[in-house]
Amino acid sequence: MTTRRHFLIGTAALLGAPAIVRAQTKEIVVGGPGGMAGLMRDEIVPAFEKRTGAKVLFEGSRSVVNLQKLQTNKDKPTMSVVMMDEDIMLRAGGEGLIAPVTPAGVKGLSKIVPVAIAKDGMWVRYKTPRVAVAFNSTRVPAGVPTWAELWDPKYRGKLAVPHMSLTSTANVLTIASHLETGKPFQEAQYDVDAGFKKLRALKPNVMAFYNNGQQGQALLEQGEAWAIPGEITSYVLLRKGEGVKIDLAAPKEGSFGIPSCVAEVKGAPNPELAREFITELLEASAQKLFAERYFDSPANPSTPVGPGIMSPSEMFNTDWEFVSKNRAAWIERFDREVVA
Amino acid sequence: MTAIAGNVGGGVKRAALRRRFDPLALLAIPAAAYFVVALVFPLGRLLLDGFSDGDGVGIGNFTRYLSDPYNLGVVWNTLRYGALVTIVAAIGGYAYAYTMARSGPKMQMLLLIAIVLPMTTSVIVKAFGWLVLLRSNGLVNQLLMASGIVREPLPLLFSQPGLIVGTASILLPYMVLPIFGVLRQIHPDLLGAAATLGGSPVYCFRKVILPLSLPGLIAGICFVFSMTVSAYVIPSLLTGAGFKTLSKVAADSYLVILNPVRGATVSLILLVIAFAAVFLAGRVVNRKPGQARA
Repeated sequence: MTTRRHFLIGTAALLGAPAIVRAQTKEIVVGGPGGMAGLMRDEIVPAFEKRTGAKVLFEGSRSVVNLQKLQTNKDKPTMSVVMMDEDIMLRAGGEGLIAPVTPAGVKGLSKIVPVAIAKDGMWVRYKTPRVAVAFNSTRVPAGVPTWAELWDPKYRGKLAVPHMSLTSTANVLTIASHLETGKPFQEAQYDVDAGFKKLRALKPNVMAFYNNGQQGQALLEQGEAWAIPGEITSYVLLRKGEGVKIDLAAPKEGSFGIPSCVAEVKGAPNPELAREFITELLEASAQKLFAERYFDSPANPSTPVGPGIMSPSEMFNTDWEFVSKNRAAWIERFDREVVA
Repeated sequence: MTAIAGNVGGGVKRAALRRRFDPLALLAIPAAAYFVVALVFPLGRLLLDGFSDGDGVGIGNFTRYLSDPYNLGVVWNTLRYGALVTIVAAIGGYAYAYTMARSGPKMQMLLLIAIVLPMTTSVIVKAFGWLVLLRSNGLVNQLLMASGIVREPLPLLFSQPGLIVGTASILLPYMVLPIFGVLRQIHPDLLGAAATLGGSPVYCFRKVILPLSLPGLIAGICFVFSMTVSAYVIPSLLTGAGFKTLSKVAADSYLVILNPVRGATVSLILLVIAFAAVFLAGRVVNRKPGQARA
């Protein structure tokens, strides 16, 4: 009954004053990760709509698909805000599909850690999942204190290792190069030969290489694999919270960040609203939700976080431009030198 | 006479014409159209990409691919995988089909259901089933340890023996059904006659049953071998990224490293291997009985 009455009232209002309704409600389309659709539609978007009186349409999809939408509608964009992984954002930036944000436009910029502002404001790293060593806490009760330990013979045939086609393996290459040369991450990430040499030495400890995330995760959860180099907070800590006996180490050498990014689309409709929406993502209220639901590090340092969640400035941010330029060659090299 | 002959001649021509334009043939149009869209176009694209060489046409992609020892290793992996799965499936499948053919009607129906029912399940589910069986505390390791064959659980997950046994079991129906189809047509009296003439059971099987069932066996080998060499889902699930076959390289070329020329080259090599298997099998089946015995 209530529903029908609401419907009737709504219809009458629309019929009676369509022009007023349309003139008053501003609308933006936000393209973001499909996995976040639930949280966006149920909590973040309603809060924003209530505060601003605007309407937000959230389109959840993969980063590559969002990029394709931007490319297709380059001359007349429909999307105002786009949320993508950093390596895809780099391509969008390179093709001139996104507009730089400024503290005057996006008020939230003043509240976040400097490392969260990418390329002088081309886009914002609104949250950062951490990449480190995942381990099965029944098999390795003491945890994995260092990345170097994974090369120890006690892990013989006990590691599940992600294939180079998975994003986080670029970080594993950097850590391998760091261990081989002793160079800091910043330099080690470019010494690819040393990285591959060290990865070859890991082979006796590898029980499986996988290129499907769930495959490695199943091995870890069942205890077939004792550890995985290059797993991510949003999976490991989520499953740990559900009672699965796994955890994510904080190795002595350091952890890596794989930032989730947001940007304003160049030439998009309602740019002011787009900037306000980006600010909304940086507010402590939204940031708290990201930290609670995905265990990702918030860009806004005033956000209260649980254990195991570092600040983005404590994690190493890879040169993703270098990675995306070289990834195809690395994949072949990984197959030939490490897997074979 | 001439007029009659002419009329008769015209009638024959019309009849021939009718035969040529049988309206029933129109029924084949939807299937033919589908065939063109789903096979001829993609295959044409594959040929174009595979044989493009610089600005012209040539076999450069193939010679370059096959002159690399790593790639030859991938081809070898694929052929070995196909051969081993086919051997395991042929031995297991033949025994199963033989038992089925010699069983009573009720037992035969049960065995038939047991082999056909898994075909209704997705290959992904069956491959995941094998992942559970092959775990260190899975059924296979438990049986091996209980029977005293091994003391420690074997690392079967993501191993090549696990892959071969798993694939063979998943593709077993394609071996069993053609063999069973031929075996059930062999009259049981033939075996009786051979035995009466003094043939031992092994001799009777080798000289009577096996040659007569050869077409079914060859058809099964053909199915299983070509399905194995082109399998993508099963090796991906059972060995992850660790065991490279041509089909995995083809998929990676298209989906990961975005190199369609490499993908087309590898797919065409795979196609040639599968065609060669079918062609060779056809030759063996079509040999005259005298040649088969030779």
